[in-house]
Amino acid sequence: MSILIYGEKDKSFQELFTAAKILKEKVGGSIHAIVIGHNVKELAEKVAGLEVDNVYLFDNEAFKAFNPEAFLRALKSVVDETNANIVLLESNYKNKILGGLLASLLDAGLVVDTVEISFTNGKITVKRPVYAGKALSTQTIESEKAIIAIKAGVFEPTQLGEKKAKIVEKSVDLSDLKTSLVEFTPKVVVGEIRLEDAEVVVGAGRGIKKQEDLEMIREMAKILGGAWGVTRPLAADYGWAPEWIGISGISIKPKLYFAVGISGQPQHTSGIRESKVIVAINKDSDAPIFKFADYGIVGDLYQVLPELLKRLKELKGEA
Amino acid sequence: MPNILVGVKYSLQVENLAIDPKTMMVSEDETPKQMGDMDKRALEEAIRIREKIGGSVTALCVGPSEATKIMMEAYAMGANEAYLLPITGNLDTDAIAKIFAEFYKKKGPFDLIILGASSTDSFTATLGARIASLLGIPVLPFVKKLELADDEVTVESDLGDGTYTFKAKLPVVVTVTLEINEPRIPTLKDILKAKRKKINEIKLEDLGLGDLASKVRIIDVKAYEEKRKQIILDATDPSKIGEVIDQLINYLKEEGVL
Repeated sequence: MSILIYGEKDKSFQELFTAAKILKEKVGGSIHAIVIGHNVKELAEKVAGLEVDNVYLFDNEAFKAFNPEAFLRALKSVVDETNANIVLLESNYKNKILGGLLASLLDAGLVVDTVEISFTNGKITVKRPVYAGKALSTQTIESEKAIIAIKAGVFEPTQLGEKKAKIVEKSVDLSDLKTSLVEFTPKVVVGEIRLEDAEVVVGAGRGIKKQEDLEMIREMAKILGGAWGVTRPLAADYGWAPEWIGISGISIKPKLYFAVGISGQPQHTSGIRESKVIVAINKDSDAPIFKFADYGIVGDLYQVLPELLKRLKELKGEA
Repeated sequence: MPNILVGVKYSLQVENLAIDPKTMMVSEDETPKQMGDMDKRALEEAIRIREKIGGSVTALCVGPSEATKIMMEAYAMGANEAYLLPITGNLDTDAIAKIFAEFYKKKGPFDLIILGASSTDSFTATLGARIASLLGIPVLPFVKKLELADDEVTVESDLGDGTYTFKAKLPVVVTVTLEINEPRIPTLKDILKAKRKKINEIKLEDLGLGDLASKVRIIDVKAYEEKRKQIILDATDPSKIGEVIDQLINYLKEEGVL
């Protein structure tokens, strides 16, 4: 019996390890980690600084980009070897697929988007947002085996110590894969700071009439040392940005979020829920975004924003 | 000519949740429902393939008996066959995947299974992978573009960190996102024609799944309370803008976020 953690970056391993420790207190067993990728020895060395027993390392060019079948084979081989009955991974698109594939292979229960883990009557109990982030669902895992995908940022990262764990280099047969990856085009990072890491985010919605007008949003983000983003229609329908803020896109948790010309559809507001302070600027006083805002300015963004930019520039210039 | 299976869910309208104001609990029964928005695109994609190269489209819904409503809609859109497997309460993705896998074996085999990448309500985005895993066939997830040539399918998948072009031989499971197409709106004639069609009912027992149980059980669902301050500053009069911005900046300084 053991707990296996699978991450892609050191931070995800550090957070997953914190969750693994909570589970270990109740269910016992050992904790192992698995690293899959290309040129990831350095990552494995870092992960070995967590108090895990073994770090299983799959370092192969075939793992340079994601192929669900290839990654599944690596993961499954280590689940078998460690006799893992709990697998923890970060909840993102790729891992939801990997988790789904693995869960049905193992006949295990699967939960994703986990934001809380506890125990009731000896059963693992999780909470996850549902209904486009409008509600929180409490669920228990009834099966012996469980795969739990946890949202990034939920658990405090455990500090990395000196390398202690053993790194076990592994390989897996990748012949006869039914799925082939023809091409991978990485997402262009919109600004210098990633939306998910930014302390200040300026978001633009359909109130922005022309693509050129996004320049105001970009400038505002720059003045505030933050990132900028858009809502789904601006990205998916108009193609003004490669990604969007929302439940189906990127969830953000800045200290300060400006929603500019955003009406406030659940799809969007669920992705900004974790923001500390939300400011909305919209000319429609009935826009749902004002219910999600700490401070709302009712007014024409084309009149408000230039003034706001001027004041923010002065302010940041003073500092 | 491909035989296509499409999964559709009778999903909660998340913008119309029935919430008990005292307990904040969400009542699934009292919340209006509809076909999931990505499921509708899955059906549309399947119908487009059939219109182009022939074949047949079968829609399957696992849901309450009232879900016949969306199965009529599936007929109106152009499905050849619509099946409803009635259940009471919830089943987890493990159980639903088993139903689809057994349906595939009993009523198939199918060349393509197309699903919405995620449901509108529970949004786990894991069902396609689970079905593929049970059937031992590939899953091509979060697809925004699909091309089918002979027995091979090429897709563009958006997996968050970029776009992946995957290729696989049939049979495969494909899960589609909102970007893949714009679903058709059935005409009145289509709707009337659909009313003459029969919705096929299938039971768990017919699939040899009489003792199906969920591995993950939902205890409760509680709506979030919106605890924002909701301080509204009126800048509709352009002469007030300067004043409003000063107020805002003071507030943000007090909050320690500026």
